[in-house]
Parts: sequence; C-alpha cells; structure tokens
Amino acid sequence: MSTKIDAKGLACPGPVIATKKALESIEQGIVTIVVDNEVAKENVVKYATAHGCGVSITKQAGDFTVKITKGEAVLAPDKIAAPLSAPTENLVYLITQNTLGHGSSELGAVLMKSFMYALLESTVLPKTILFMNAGIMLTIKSSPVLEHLETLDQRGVEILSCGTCLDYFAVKNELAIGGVTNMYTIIEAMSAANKVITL
Amino acid sequence: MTIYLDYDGLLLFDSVHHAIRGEKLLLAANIKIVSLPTPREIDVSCGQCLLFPLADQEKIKKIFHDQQLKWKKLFKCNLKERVYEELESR
Amino acid sequence: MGFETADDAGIYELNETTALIQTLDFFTPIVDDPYMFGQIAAANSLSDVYAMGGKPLTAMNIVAFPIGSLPAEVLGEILKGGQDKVIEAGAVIVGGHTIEDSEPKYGLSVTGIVHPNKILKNIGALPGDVLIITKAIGTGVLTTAAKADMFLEGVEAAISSMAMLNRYAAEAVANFTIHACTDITGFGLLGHLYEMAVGSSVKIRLQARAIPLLPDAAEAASMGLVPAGAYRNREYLKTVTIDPSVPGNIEDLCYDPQTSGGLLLSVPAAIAKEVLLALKESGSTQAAVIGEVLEKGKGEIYVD
Repeated sequence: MSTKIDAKGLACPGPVIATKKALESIEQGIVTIVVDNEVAKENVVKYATAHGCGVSITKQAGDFTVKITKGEAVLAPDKIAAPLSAPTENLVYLITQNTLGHGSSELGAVLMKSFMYALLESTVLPKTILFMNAGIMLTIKSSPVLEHLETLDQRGVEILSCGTCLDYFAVKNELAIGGVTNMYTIIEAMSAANKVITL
Repeated sequence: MTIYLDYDGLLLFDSVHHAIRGEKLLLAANIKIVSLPTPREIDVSCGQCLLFPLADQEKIKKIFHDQQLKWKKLFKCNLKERVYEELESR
Repeated sequence: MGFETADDAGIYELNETTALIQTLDFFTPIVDDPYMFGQIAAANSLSDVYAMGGKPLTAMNIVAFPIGSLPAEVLGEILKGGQDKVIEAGAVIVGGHTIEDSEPKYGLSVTGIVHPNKILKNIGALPGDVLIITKAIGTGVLTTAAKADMFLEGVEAAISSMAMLNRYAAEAVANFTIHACTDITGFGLLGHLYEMAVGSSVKIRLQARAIPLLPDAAEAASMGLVPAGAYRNREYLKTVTIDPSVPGNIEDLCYDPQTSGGLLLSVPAAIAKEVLLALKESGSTQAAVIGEVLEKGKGEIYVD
C-alpha cells in the first residue's frame, strides 16, 4: 500500500498536516511526500519518527522526496525487546553451521551476518541460542558476529556452545561469548522449548 | 536495539557481489564497517549494505574508486530513529 | 543610550529624572480570534517598555486591514482587544493609523517613561548571576500547532501566556537589583540569551531541563510543528554548544521564536530565590531559574 503526496508550495505546517492525514489513513505501508524546502523536510521527518515510522530521504534539484515506512514490527526507539521467558513461550535457536543455507559458502557467510543483524532488531528474541558443529565458529574470538552476540547476551539471551565441538575444532580457549554446554543440556533445552528453529 | 548507533553512514550497492567485495576491501584497509541487510525504509527487496562512520566517507570512496568498485547510493543515517538521508547517488 | 545593545526601543533623556522610551511592533494574526489577536499584539508592543524598567503612558494603533474582504467587526474586535490591554497597562490609546492591505496586521507604537538611573538594559549580566525567565516557552510551536488544529489545550495556554502583560513581572522585580533584563521574542530563548551574553561579555550555561514549557509544546515540537523561524534562529547562532543529551525537541524549543514572551533576567545569586518568589506571587506562575552566568567570555552558551 503506497500513497504519494505533493506538498510543494504548502505553507507551514501544511506538509506536516498532509503527512498526518496520510499516515492516519493506513495501517501499514509507505507514504511518499514531496516538499520543496528544508524546513518542511525536517518537520515531516520529525513527525514520522515521532510516530515510530522509518524514513528515507532523497533530493532532486531543490525538492525532497520523503519516503515514510509505517507498520510491520515498528520498534519505537526507546523500546528494547526483552527475551520471552514466560513458561508458555520458549524459543530456542539451534545453529549448526557458521553459514546459512547451501550453494555458496561466501553467500552463506553474508547471510549469517545479515541474520544476526536482523535478529538484533527483532521484537521476538529467543531464550537460548545453541551453537553446534561449525556453528561454534560464531562464538569464538574470530567470529564475524561477536558484537551481535554480545548485545544479545546483554539483553538476556542465553548463549551456549557445544563443548565437544569446541574441542574438535581445537578452539576451546577461544570461546569469546556465552557458556560451554554438553549434549544433555542441549537436548533438555530443545525439549523444554515450545519452538526450536534450526539453522 | 541496534548496537551500531554511532555509525552514521550507509552505502547501498547494485549487487551483493559488490557489497561482499567492498567489505573485504574496507576490512583490509582497517576501516570499521558492518555489513547488514538493506533497511526496509530504503528498499524492501533483500540486498546488502555497508554501515560505517560517516567521517570515513572520503577514505572509503577513494578506496572504491582506486579498486574500481561500483557503489549505488550513499546515505547519512540515524539508526536509532531509522532516518536515512540520501547524500549521493551514482 | 547608544545602539550597541540592539534593543528595539529608543531612549531619550528629557531631564535628570525622566527619560522617554519609544518602541513599536506589529505583526500578522497568529491566532484566529480577533480580540485575542489584539490583546496579544498589544501586550507584545508594550513589553519592551517593561523590559527597560519603564512604565507605558500612551500608545498609538498601527493597523493594516483588507477593508473590502473582511468584515469591519473583525477590525473592531482587534482594536478592542488592543485597547483593553492598553488600559490594563495603565496607559491610554491616543490615536493611530490604518492602511488598506490584503493581510491584516496590528500592533502599537508605545511611549513610556523611566528614571534614567533605573533603566534596565540587556547587557550587564555578571559572572555568578542566576538567569530567570518569567513565562513558559513554546508559543512559536503552539501557534504552528494551532494552524494544524492540533494540541488545542496547549494552544489555549499559549494564547493566555502571550496575552499576559509583562507589567506584573516588571513591578514584582522593581525593587531588586537586576543586572540585565530583556524580553524574549522573535529570536527565541537562545537568541535573546545570546544578545545578553555577548553584550555583557560573558559565558552562559542554560539548563535545558529547567526551562518551563507551555503544555503540549514538547510533544508538538517532537512532531515537527516547528516554525521556519526556529530553523533560521539556529542558523544564525553560532556560539551555542548543545550537549547531545538534550533531546531534539527541547533543542528546537530553545530556538523557537516567541511572541510576547516573558522577561529574561540576570540577577545576583544571593537574591535569586526572593526574586523568584516575588515573581510567582505576582502572577508569573511559570517563572523559573534556567541557568547561570559563568565567567567573562564572548557570548558562548552551553546548553545541557
């Protein structure tokens, strides 16, 4: 659902009023508004972000096109997602390799980084992330997603790496985030979970 | 909440191959960057972008120019507010 | 009197005990109700006299009006609003001038008097002084919100605030030692603070959290109901350092152009509490300490 508005030539606060009307008329979707001066652009952007929308701005010869994205898991800047730890909902991720998917390991590495980045922005965080086999490459010092996992850890997500796997790859001393676990705990964590997602 | 709040520059590429190559070049040059999926506010189809401190933009553009790596758009971004302002387009 | 202080009023010494103050101001309607527009424009025009520590005596109407396209009753209401305000100020309207114009404008040319030794200037703030304002901030943002039919409660509060004469505040502080005084208008809080700081050759610290704000002003500012004047004021002021912890909307309010704003006073720290009490008791319920004068300088302002 996409709406386009021409707000050029409108005196303040015309552009903000037009933006308000358009955003109020949709549940979610994209509103694109064109203005012809910086003040209008600044004000429209302020209105959009104050209402939890994301904004992308492009410039064309003195005019500004402001693309506002509303809806879909909109995360207000001051709301930080908390991990779901209630007994009825228990989400566990099992990560069995350090790449995502098959076909190209280069692409797989890119996808895993994207996945971890997007997970940080998600409103639904897992209770636990279990790393096995080559997955433990993501929890050691050389991991390309260490900062992402550190942030998840700070937000209460439990991060566990299989001890046997760390040992097999001879990187026991390189563990950089979370704890070491064994197959028994892994089975327990997966059984107790309502939902287990395996990557 | 994203952890890279102090990274206020974003580069968009035509293809993921360019993004991958770009990431390698910049890591080799010791420039702090993070690869991430293209923010939905910019484009809804999947793609890869590079996030970096905007202060490094000239350094980055020079490396890409020297290595003949094409990039599509440069944005100034505020990740906290999810505002992306296009600065340059190729 | 000199021109270095950029006051938009002039002072002329008649004799040892009396100096004449002359000032004028007028503008286009900022609220829909013509009577209130008259009240606000008059209060705004009279304000300069109070800011100099004087007393208004006479006023003349400055009027521009589209006689053909707006009913004469509207003009009648505007003038009534102005006249009632002048009477409240203890002064009298002695005449005026009207011209035909496509856009209505109204204001006053005011003549007042002040004792030459008691003139309050906007320079003279001293290190160690405490800064006090007598009215809440946010009229620019709220008059913009009014045009968008939003935040009606805040708009009402802004109208009352703008219509309030600075007379009561001026009288409340008349017997205190005031080092510097100005009224807050189109350049915004930061603009007028800057004039005071640079004219007094000092550095100033403004505590953003302490600034009294009109109801709904913060929310309206965060939503982009920020007038172009605020952006212009920001462009113009270069010696202001704002701490990153100050939220964007509060920063915008610091630059928000005010109409008929309150007085900005620089007072010795020792009497600040008493001055504040006197202000609150005389009707300036929003009066607050908003900062301090640090040390000698070139007009630097630190906002945190």
